[in-house]
Amino acid sequence: MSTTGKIDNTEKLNRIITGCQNGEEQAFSQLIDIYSTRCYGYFYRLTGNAGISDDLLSRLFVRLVQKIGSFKGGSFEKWLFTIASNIFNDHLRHEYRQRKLLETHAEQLATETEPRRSDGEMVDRLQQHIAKLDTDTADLILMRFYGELSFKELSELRGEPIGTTLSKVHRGLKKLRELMGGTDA
Amino acid sequence: MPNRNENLEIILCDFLPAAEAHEAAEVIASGERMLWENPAPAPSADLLADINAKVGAALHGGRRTASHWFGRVAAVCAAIVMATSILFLFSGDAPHEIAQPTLNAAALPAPGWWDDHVVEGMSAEIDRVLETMISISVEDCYIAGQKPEFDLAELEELELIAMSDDFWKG
Repeated sequence: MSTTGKIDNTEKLNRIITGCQNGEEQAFSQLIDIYSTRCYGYFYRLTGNAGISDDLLSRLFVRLVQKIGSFKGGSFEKWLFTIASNIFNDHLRHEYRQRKLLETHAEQLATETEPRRSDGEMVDRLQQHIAKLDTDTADLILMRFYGELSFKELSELRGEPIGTTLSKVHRGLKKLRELMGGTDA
Repeated sequence: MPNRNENLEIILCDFLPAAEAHEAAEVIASGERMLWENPAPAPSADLLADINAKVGAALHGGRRTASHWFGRVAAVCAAIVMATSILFLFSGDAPHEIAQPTLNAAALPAPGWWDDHVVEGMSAEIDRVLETMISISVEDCYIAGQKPEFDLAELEELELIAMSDDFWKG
């Protein structure tokens, strides 16, 4: 990517964000065009479920309408993926509570709704192996990949030392590579 | 592959010896290459159209909220005026006994028809009307096709009620 191209893109993005902050529907539509695929990929790889990813992506952009006024500059991706991560964590808490309620009220019902990761979809190998990572590590790896965030941004976002973030991502990707059955992809 | 303007090996050298830093940078790069080579599915056109519609509704909903606030304030004022009128109507002596308004209301002597119990009762009634109106306007914030903004505890309670109902239905 050339420097001029990057500057052009940054200026274009800034104009779109300003439009969104002024409540322009067209600007939001452009933002959806730019980020929907990456954000959907992030949600899909974390949940392994298209239906849930659809729902989380919708929630993300509706929340963006409410929150765009609070964006004060800096890395938009970092800001966007912080919201995406919060939405995913809300979803996890909701699922956890639902499972607890089901366990309390009807154990049989709980077992019927438990396998939510695939819901009968064709799941690729990578998806199966990402599901084997702990949620925190998977979230970090996917946020870095789909948010195109640097380790510095990622550690700031998580409020943890950069060494901790590096170590978690390194360990997670190493495990993923081993599970995929190759020393190098 | 995205260019993040960072040199992984240099960052890793702060924590690891050079050889290990090089190896760790390789592991991270190859892991991310693997993600790049196995792309996740893209959102469907229907989903994007639906999201655009929801965003549009949320934007218009936001604008409507401002007019709702204005309407709410107007309604509260109307309720206060009505309640005050009722107070005058049912408080025995006619309003002709009311002292002419002056700039310093506190200096006015209490009129003969003034009854503290009636005033307390009317104040409670006004509070009740205000609470009712606020609860009605919370329902008005519902955006078509979307859940209203309840907090997590409320949602949890609603889920519990819904599940309990289904459970007892068998």
